[in-house]
Amino acid sequence: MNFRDEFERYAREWQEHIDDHSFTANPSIYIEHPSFENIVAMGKEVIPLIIEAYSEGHLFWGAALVRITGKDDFGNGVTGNLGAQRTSWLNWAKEV
Amino acid sequence: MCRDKSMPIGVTNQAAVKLPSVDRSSYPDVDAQSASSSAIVKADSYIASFARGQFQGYVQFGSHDTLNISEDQNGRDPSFVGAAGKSFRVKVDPNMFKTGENPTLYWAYSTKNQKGSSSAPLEFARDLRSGALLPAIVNIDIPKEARGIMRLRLEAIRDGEPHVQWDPKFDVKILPQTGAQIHFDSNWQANTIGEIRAGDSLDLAYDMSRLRRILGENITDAVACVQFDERPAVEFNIGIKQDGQIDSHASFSPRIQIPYEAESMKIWFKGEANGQIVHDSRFGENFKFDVGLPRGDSNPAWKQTILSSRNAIAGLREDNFSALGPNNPLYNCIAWSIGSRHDWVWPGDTISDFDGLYAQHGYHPLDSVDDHALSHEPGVEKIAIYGYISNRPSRAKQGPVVTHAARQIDDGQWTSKLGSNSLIAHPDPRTIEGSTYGKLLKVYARTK
Repeated sequence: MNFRDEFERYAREWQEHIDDHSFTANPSIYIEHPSFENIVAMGKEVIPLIIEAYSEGHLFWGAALVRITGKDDFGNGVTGNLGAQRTSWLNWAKEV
Repeated sequence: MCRDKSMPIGVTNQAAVKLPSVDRSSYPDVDAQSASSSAIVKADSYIASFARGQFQGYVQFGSHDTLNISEDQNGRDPSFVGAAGKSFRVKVDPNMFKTGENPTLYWAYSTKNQKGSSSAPLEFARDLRSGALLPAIVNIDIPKEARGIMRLRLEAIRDGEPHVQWDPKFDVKILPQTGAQIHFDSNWQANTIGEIRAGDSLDLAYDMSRLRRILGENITDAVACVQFDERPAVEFNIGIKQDGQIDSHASFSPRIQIPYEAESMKIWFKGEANGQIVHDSRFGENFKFDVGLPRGDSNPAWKQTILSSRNAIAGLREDNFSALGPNNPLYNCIAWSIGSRHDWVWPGDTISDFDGLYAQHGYHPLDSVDDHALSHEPGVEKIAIYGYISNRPSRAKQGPVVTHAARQIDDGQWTSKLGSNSLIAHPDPRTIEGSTYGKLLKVYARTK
């Protein structure tokens, strides 16, 4: 399985977990999943693929970027204004 | 024109606040008793004009005055605008078809409870002098209850087979009949009639004497600029042109639809004369209005999305709640309980964590979760939290796990934002008790 396929598999599994908990208010539950941890473990190389998914998909990708980069000045990715955090991360990706 | 040419039609990139405005001193002294007023006209009917590769929407008032109101901004939106309870006229150019194709116009719309559709043959009469074919015209009376989109399609017989022409650009956005009016009168007042609510229509009635006093008679452009929340402002023509000149004694009252997610609205007006642009914008502050929640189940699809979800909340049924918007992942129920529609808020999952959060917002806990605690008391705002006892002994020692919060609104109904799904209203706070959120744990209250 190539790198992209691996990412897409984890992303799909994580999305299913998020969909399964779409009535949940506690945002920590959305990132409590092995596929989220697997994506984080893929390291900095996966950031472009995350940015691609983040621009169209759910709002919790920021939590993965915080974990991978250690950068939390846009927020923690699970609480706060997640829409604004997405905008900040997408702008950041254009600049780096 | 004062529109930025680089922006799509109808959109301005002007800043929303602190617009340059004429100085207060340049406003003439207006005596309420002597202020002159101007006529304000509303649309009589809406028109869609089809020609080969060209789709244009118009609004008509009086006998033959029209304003261009096409709304297509990105090639995917409906090209046309119509209004519930008003006549909608479809004008089709004969060059779209060959002789003998016998084209027919079909249309379909939805009301809250049913769908309607009909059709009419397109008949091209001949000009008596030139012999040329004239456009076919079909009149459609849009029902008062119609909402959403009216779909148009053209069908003809080509080479013996039905040939359908349809594109999302053929769609007609239907402006709802229910709504409010804001009258910007000749005395510099802005009076709201009715309730401004998301999803409803809004009529802007602007007395042109306001701009006339600033710019004189030779006005060449007049528009209303409307901005919802922090979205780009949209311009609506309010000037009525006659012989290339704006009629400074009359204005057109545009009807607009307030987006379902809108919370606030700013309005200002721009006028141009002799190259000078001025803003009637409450001295640069703009006219600001709060937007109320949409009417329950304005779009029947909202409720069905919740009920058909694979993890739907067991207690919710068709008849015991109403949906107040589409799915919205931008905020959760805790944010909603403290008045935000932009954040995910989570203070922790113990009751103590929530006591702390709500204390910061001026709420105090009530002693029980009985009917009295959950009742509607005018002047008192209430929040209820839900939860369950954890199966994990170590967590169970800390007390219940909080899962959800609901907020009581002014009319006494309880409202819940369901995770990343819709905001709903449910008269009984116990409706959502069950396996998803557990049981009611505590009620908090504060005086307004």
